[in-house]
Order: sequence, then structure tokens, then C-alpha cells
Amino acid sequence: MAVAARPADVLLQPQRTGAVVRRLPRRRGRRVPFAMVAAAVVAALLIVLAGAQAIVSQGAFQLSELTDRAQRLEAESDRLRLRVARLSTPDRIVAAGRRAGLGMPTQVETLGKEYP
Amino acid sequence: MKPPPGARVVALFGLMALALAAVATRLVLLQVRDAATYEALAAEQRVRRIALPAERGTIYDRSMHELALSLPAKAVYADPALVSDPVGSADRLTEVLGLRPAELREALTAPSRFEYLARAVDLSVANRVRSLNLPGIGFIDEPKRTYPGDSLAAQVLGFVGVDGAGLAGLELQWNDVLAGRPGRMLVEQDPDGQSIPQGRLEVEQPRRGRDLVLTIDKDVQYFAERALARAVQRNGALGGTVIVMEPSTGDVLAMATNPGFDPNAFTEAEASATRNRGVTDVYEPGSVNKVITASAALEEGVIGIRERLWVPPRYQVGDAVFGEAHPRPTMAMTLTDVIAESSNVGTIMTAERLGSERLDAYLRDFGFGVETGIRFPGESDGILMPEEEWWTTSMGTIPLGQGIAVTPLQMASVYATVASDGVRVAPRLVRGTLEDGEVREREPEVHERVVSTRTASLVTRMLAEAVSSGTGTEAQLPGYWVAGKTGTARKPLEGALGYSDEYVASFIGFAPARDPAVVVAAIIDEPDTVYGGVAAAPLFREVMGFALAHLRVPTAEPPDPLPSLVRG
Repeated sequence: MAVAARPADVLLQPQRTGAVVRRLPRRRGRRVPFAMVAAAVVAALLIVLAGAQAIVSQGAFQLSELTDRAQRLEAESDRLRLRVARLSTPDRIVAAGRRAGLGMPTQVETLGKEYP
Repeated sequence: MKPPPGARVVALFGLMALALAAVATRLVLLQVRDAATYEALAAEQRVRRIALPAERGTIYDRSMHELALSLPAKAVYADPALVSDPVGSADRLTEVLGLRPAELREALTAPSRFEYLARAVDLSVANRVRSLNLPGIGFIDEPKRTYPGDSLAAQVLGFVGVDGAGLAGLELQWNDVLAGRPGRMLVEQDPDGQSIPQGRLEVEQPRRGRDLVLTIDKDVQYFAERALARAVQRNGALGGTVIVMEPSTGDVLAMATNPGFDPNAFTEAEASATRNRGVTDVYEPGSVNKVITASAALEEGVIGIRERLWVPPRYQVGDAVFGEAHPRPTMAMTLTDVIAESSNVGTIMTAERLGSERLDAYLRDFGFGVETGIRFPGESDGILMPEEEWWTTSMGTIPLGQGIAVTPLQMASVYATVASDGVRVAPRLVRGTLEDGEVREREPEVHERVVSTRTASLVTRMLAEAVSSGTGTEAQLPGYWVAGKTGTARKPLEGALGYSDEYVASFIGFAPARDPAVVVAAIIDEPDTVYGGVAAAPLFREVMGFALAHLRVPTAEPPDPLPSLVRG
């Protein structure tokens, strides 16, 4: 029974010693799936890259926003710190006390042990 | 004759080879030999060094109230080359920065690439300038030093310049600690000043300055300043000084100088008003100095506490005759009477028993002629001539506190020494630095015994007599027993060629006499009423009364009375 030759490879009769296998050119139609796979992989990579970039950009925006917010809060904290310092100056407290009708006592009595 | 075609081709190739060789040589020169130079030049153009200012440390009072703090602020600058409309920009900036248009126009048209428009402006103002979107206007981080109490303890705190360096007071003395270490940022920028992505970026973070905790009590300081201002006005005086100290620790609770100034606007202040006169200026102390003569005489045993001195109304020393402030006949006095009645003649007679050498030694032991150890910028060590250079009349003047010059702090320190059982403790203004929320205390630098506990106790009782029934009755405080001494000293003329008719009135003392908690020195410069007992003692009483109440010092038993031949 004759064996059908494989389409890609043809077994040639040996010329001198051993057998020689000649690779025949592939048919064009078999390359298409590989190109499509490659394109799909590249496209997928691009999509992943774009997604990652978007996430990074979003993170950068959030970071920038948080940095701005931190700076604003820091500035507000400093402003409040100064306000507290100003509000606790004796000058302001005395003025506020005067406005409220307070004053230094005109007569002071010191309570203590009676000494002879 | 035309050259053969082959020769022309060879010549052409030769020329091309030469040209290529020249290009290659130049390439090697640029890329190999001069590469570093050109790289540096390029970096110079692209890389910008930005100084990151360090936040200056805060200065707190002893109760951790902020006396000086730094807040973020901006310097506004212009690059005149980039300003397209100087007149319009100046008009718009005037409204926000509050500067004169002409001044701004001048800066915006200056032939330079950098002109400051305003320094240390608040962030809100800087943001308003930024919102104008003016070309050629930029900002630099520049912390702003703020003193929330305005003139409170101004001469003690001092102030900093626009570059953030301390220029006076504690700001100068502790600049290394407060300033921290500035950082820097290296960043690559394009010609428009935008950062180049993936470019060089190196950041060295600034190190914040350390915080300082003072011994000053802001309430006592405030009260002392107000009381001093009232006393100066009441007495028509030039100015004055008040020092409040804790004798056992040397802690200065208040150091007030009048006239004062606002360190937030120090450039508008008189230079003389910025001096901390309690430390930098000297004066002849007058009778408050008699306490040293008495202490030395008792310590050396040249006079007994019950010993009777016959004190004439006038007394000659060298070629000068010394008398009393108020005429009186010859009287028998104890040393207590001499101090309580502030007798000049009695003090001179006591000093003569002591001798100039020992008197000089005690003056120095009490801290005259040397700095106190407070290490305040510009501190004077006073004027005390070497004993071998004293005049023939010096034994008549120096025991009375004339012919020598001391700072108010030196004089307050003498009374603090008596109050702390004869041990001299160096006064201090700084408790320490703040480390991880805890105060790292500084120990006093001087801690030495000057006189014995017995002598200190006897002198305290003499000073208590001076207040209870002597020249210092105006210093009496209801509920407390006060020990102190009046001083009325003539001011020397310029060049030490005698004395003027102007006086310095003072009262220095401590309370409670038996268990001293507070020393107060009240000094008034050129009051209308020259006597220390009249001009300065009420100021002393006012400040001492407040300090004792504020510090919640309990009353103490009165000191045991000493023998007197004058006062009942």
C-alpha cells in the first residue's frame, strides 16, 4: 500500500548516503492567525497600558488634589495657630476683660496664717 | 592640460576625507575633550537650584504660650524682561500689595531679571496676586516671623531680618538653634520654567529649627511692662527697667524696658528702644549697693550686729566730704539702722573697717565687673576699676554705689544671692529647648556661695527693717513681709568728669522675706521725684504684688527683728 506523501515535506530518495528532508515554503494562509494573535496581543497590551496610564493619571490627580488640600489645611492650621496666639496675649485678654466690666482690684486682702 | 578623471576623483575623495576628518576631530573635541564643560553649561541652563527655607523654631514662654512663631509666607518678585505692561501691572498690584504705584513701576521696568516687589507677604495676599495672572510675576517661599504679643518682651525676644536670620535679642543669641537647616531642590526646567518630565529632580528636605522655652512668664512680663510705663509717665521719667527673678533658680520671669517697640515693625523703631537695657546698659546703682558693704562687713566679722556706731552727719574721705541725704545730728546706729535709714556716713565707716581690698573682692564675688552668665547679646560686664586704681575718695563713693557702674540685672542678681541664702545663681532667660514635646532643661552655669547662710539671713532682716520702718516703707505689701532697699544715684556726666543733676531712682528687694520666692528690681531713669523710696518703691510694690499673687506664693512668717538704736 502506497503511503501518501505529507504535503509540507517530501521524502527524497537518498543520493549518496542518508535521507535529506527539504522544507517546502508554507502556504500564505497559515500566517494570518499568527498576525491576528500578535495584533490582538499588542492591542491588549496597549489597552492595559492605557488603563494603567489612566489609573496613574487618576492617582496623580488625586495626589495633587490631596497635596493642595493638605497645603490648604496646613495654611488654615497656621492661621488658626496665629489666631490662638493673638487671642491669648495678655493685651487682648485685659482689653476683653475691661469691655466686660472687669478691672484690677483696688484693695487686696491676703489670707494667711496670723503671725504675732 | 586637464588632469585625468581618475586623479580628480582621488582629489575629490581626498577633500571629502579631509572634511570628514575635520568633522570627526571636532566631534571628538566636543564629545570627549570638552564634554564635561558643555554638559555643565547645559545643566546650568536647565537645572535650577531652589532653596527650601527651614521653618524657624517657635519661642514659648514658661507656660508654653507662643511669643514668636514663623508662618508660611511668600516673597513676590518680578522678572521685568517678561513684564509686558509695567504700568497696567503696577496699577493692579498696587491694590493688592498696598505699595505705591511709582515704586512698583520702577521695579517692573528695572534693567534686571529679578526684582523683589514685596517680602514675606501673607499667603492670602500672594494668592490674590497669583489670581491676577500677570506675566513676569513670581513667588518664592519665605517664612514670616510673627510676634503675636506685639511689643510684649520685645527687647528680650529681639527680631529677625527679612532673610530670616536673628538680628537682636534671643533671636540672635539662639539663631543657630532656632534657624534649623535650609534644604534645596535641584530641578530641570525648560526655558518657560516648566519642569521637564523625567528630568533631574533632587530634593534635600529642610530641617526645622528647634523650639525654645523661656523662663519668661508672659503675664508677669505684661504686668511689669504696663506698671513700668505707668510709673515712667507718673514720674515724668526718661524710661526705666523692671526685672523679676526667681532667686533659687535664677529664672528671669520678666525683663521690661521702657520705652518699648514692636518687633513686627522693628524698622520703624528707635534704635535705642530696641536695646534690652536691663542687660546692655549700665548705671551707677547708688544706695542699693550698700547691701554688699553690709554683707561683706558681717561675713568678715568687722562689725557686730549689736555694735553701736557713732555716726556723724558728715565724714571726710580723701579730699571729699560725704553727708547724708537728709541732714541729722551725730547719732548712735547699729548696722541695721545704717541699712534701714540708708546712712551714707555709716556705710562708709563700715567699709573703712573692711578695707578696699576686701570690699573689692566682695563686689567681684557678687558679680560686678563680669557678665552675669545670661549670655545675652550685647551684655555689659559693668565698670569696676581694679582696686589698685581706686581714687583716694573711692572708699567714700563705691560703698555707696557711686563710682562703679552695673547693669540692672547684675544688681538684681546681688539681691537674688542674698535671697537664696548667699548662693549666687547665674540668671537665665532660656529654660531649654523643646525635644519631642519635652523641655530639655539647661542648668544654670554659675552656682557659687558668696556669703554664709547666717550673713544672708542677717542682711535679709536688715532689708526687711528698711521696708517695715526705714526708707522703703512705700514698698510694703499687705499680707507679706518684704525685704528691700532704696537707691538714689546721681548720673555721671559724659566722660566721667563729675556728676549731673539728674538721678536714677531704684528699689530692689524680695518677698516673702523669710522664704523669698521673687526678686524685683525697679529702676526709673531721671524721674521728677528723685528718691528711690518715692519714685521706684511704688512700682516695686505693684509688680511684686502681682507676681506673688500670680505665682500663688503663700505668706510667710515675719523675720525676727534686729537690734535698732534709731527706730523704736
